[in-house]
Amino acid sequence: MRTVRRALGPILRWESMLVVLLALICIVFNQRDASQQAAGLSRRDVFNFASIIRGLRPYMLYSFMTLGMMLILAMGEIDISTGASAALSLATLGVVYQGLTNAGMPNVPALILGLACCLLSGGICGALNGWLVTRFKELYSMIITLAMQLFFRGIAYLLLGGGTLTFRNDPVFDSLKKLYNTVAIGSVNVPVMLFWFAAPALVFTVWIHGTVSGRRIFALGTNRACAYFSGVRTDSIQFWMFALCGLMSAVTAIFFTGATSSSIRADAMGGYELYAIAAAVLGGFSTSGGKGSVPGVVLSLVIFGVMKIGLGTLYGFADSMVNLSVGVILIANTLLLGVGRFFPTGWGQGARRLRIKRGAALHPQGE
Amino acid sequence: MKKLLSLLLAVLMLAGLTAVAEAPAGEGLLIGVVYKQSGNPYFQASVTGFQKAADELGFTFLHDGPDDGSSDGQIRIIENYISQGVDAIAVSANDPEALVSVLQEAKAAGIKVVSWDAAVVAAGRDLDVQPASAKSIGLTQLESIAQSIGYEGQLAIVSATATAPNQNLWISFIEEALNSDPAYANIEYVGTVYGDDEYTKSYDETLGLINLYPDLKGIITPTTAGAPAVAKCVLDEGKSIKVTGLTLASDMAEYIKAGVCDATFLWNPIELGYAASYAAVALVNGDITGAEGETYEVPKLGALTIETSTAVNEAGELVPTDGTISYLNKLNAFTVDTVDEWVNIL
Amino acid sequence: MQRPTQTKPSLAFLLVRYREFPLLAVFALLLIGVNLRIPGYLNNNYLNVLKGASINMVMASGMLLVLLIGSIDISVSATLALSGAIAGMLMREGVIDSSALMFAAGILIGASVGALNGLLMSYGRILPIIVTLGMSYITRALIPMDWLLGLNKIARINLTDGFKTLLLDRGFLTLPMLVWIAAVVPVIIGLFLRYTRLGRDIYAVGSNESAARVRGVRVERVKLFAHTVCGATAGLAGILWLGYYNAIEKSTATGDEMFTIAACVLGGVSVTGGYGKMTGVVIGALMIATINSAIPQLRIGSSMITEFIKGILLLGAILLNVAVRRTAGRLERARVWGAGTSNSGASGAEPPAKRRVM
Repeated sequence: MRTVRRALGPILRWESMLVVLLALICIVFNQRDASQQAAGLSRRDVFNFASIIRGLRPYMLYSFMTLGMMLILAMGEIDISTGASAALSLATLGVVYQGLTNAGMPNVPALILGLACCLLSGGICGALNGWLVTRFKELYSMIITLAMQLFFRGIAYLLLGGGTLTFRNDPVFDSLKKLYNTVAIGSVNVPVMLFWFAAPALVFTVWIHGTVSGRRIFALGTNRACAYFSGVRTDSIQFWMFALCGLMSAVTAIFFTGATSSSIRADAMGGYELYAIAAAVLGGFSTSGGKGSVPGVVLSLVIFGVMKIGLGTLYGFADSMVNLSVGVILIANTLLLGVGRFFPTGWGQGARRLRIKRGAALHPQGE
Repeated sequence: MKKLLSLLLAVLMLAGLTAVAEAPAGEGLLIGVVYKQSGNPYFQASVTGFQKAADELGFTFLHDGPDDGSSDGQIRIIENYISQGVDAIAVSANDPEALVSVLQEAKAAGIKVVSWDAAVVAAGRDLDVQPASAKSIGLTQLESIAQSIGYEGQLAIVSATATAPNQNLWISFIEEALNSDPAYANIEYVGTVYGDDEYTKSYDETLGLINLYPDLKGIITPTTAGAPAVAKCVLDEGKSIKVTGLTLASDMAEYIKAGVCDATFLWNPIELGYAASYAAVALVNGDITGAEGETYEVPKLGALTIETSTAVNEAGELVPTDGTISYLNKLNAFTVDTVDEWVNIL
Repeated sequence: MQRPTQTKPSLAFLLVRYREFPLLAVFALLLIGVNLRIPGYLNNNYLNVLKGASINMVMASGMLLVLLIGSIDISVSATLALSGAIAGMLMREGVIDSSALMFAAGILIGASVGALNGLLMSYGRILPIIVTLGMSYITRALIPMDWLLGLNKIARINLTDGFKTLLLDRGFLTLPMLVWIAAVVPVIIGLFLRYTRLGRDIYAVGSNESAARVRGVRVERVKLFAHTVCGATAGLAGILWLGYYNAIEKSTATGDEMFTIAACVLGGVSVTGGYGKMTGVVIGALMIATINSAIPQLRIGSSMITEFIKGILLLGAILLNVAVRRTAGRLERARVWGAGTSNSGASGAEPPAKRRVM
């Protein structure tokens, strides 16, 4: 049995399961598309390569956030304030840009400063989470970020006064819309966002799977105590990962500005944290930490996109059912990851880790 | 002679009818309808209007709204419609600006865009269809409450959010009339509070008002989501305050019968969807281009004229803006006598 | 276990142990402050505060159990909407015509959602936040009025006359039924926690799961039970909502789970499990209701500030609790070691704060 498993090892990875899943979804949807066309129910081929690539666009908005969330999950923590910190970064961008242009600054440097402040405020939000999580170790990151979420969104509301900030007829600010454009490559309209996403995705892949500092994140998530005593600076890593996650939320906010034609609202991106968590978990990042890979996350983002496009256009699912399916996938997938011993994420390992954690907690070693 | 004339008329009418029956204007068209939020009875009613028009004109339509009332949810839906190749999109926008990019892409793909109920800015639409001009909506409510309270006493407004453009425009007209019209000279306007279209918030804000102004006589609540909370609060507190506003009949039937409201108003969302469909079909067929001065015919509502849009500037005045609009100019009053007819519709 | 008699508990230790009393003082200060800003506030509003606190208080009593076992449930507001919507639909369609059946239906629906949460969380070993976050989305999408009846809203007109007025009519001692229900539920759950074996087990599981397991507590069952009760109270809250506001729609109570958690945390309940008292929760819920009702009347800036205040309140309360627990741990250690006995974790006092050092 062991030799069989070793031989099948490379195939029985979670990522290959995702590829199979994606292929299955595509086959089913393609059948449905063909039969609908044959029956004259739809007027054009809605499910083909070009339309999927183009249609992925709105589902890519939270892809950046997912990259950040993935790091947090790898450490065995969770951050549910990402949607709110993205909204706060969005508000910062708008308010800073408006303030600077009103003060007489030329538009281009004002926009650059605004974007910098946007990224900075995302980073600060994340750092604040990180600081609290490392400082108050009794508390789960879940409860801290739950409270911070209200706090961030509250500040966003205060900044914007509850209103919508728009920069109508401002060509400089409107240039952000280009982030949401598509470029024609052959007959396919490829969203510009795909290229923007490819860069951090590649960097993250190399970094977290190929370098020492990246592997420390997983070490931290697998066994915190062991990592600590092997000389990993657990607190420092945790702090910076939270900060990075906040930064990625701010990046999401910038692309969101492009998508929504520069209309800036405090209630923007509600529920994005759920999408990000769901995509990261489907990508193989178990919530107990120490697992997962970037290619898996990229695949799961594509799967989510394709599924939502297909369910919407081919099966006429209402938008509300999309949320339902995200919730079901999140829970079902966590169950599968937790219970399935076949994949390299058996729950026995998670349980062991928990015991160690509890054990360490039972014998506090000084203040 | 008379007989001959009537025969001639009958023949002509028949010819007209068959002409219509031969080629329903919307045959084979596909229209994508986007509303603000799924699970809102108001938009459910509008969909009935689209259905009615679809039956008459022969087009088919898809309809959806985001679960959370967000703009990016609407963008997702519109992108799906574009890839399905619809001929026209009829949208009630959650945010006037947010949908512009995606709607411009739709227009570039040859799709006609009609906004209804809540407009998108001119760059993103071909035509806007609205139930009634802001002035008539504001003044109808004011006149009704003035009659209820005998043209004197304290009056307050419980609005949606502080930035809701529709509500603010109506309120600006109400305020203007209160300041300038001598008929309302004895009415003391104490201010506007915002219930954010949330039930509990509206309830609490109303409670705050009642406690702050014990002599309050009337409340205008120009938002369907806030109105039942306001009326419930007034009823719970047992005050003799009159309430009017824009409401759904099913929400308010109880309060109208309990005497809290003498009359409340709403345009007919069914007619709104109905008219938006006719506008969309006319645009697709090239009967109109959405330019000022054109008219299109809507059965039972007559010929609707396309006008230049207006907006409120910083000084609070109504000025022309980009884009065109057509008004149905029809408000329904729900009173003790008429509300029951509407209970199952709105 | 006998407390060593030679050491008298210090004042600080008593304050930490009976955290509810300082909280009561803070609450009194809050009331006085608001009353100074708005003359006659309490006189005009005491009933509104009680009514406003009632739904949250019922939910918070259930949430207490979940927090005590070191779990969390952020799907309660969605459960509230689901149970209110389904029960309202049944009443509209004439399936249910008595108020008692409404309550039964609501509690049943809520309990099933809660039980599902509990099953997935305890036996499925999924993080509670993942389960309940996912569940809140699923539950909201499942609210069936639109796809079943094309209705999308339960309004006053859909309810029977008896049910419409049941909760708000002045009853015993001129207080409405709503307030009485909100008073009875915490009392029952509080007594249960204090005097039954299962109630004690809940504390045991929360303060030290492995120890509880060794001692023979069926940890999974206890967790399942706590989540089921939490769901049931949320379901009951849905019926209360319907009876109070006479309206339920898909987005009803969105975000209210934060108020519920905040009421518990303000009341001194530890979010890591094992410590918390019902009296604290009741005071916490009353404080939140006071703040909610006072903010519109205080006219401080825009209404946008409420979200901000909520966040500060929740975070402040959580961090304050940690500080208190650390102090408790320190005091306990100093007291016990200072007295030279090996007594630790005396009955009623909470264990020293669990701290990770890494």
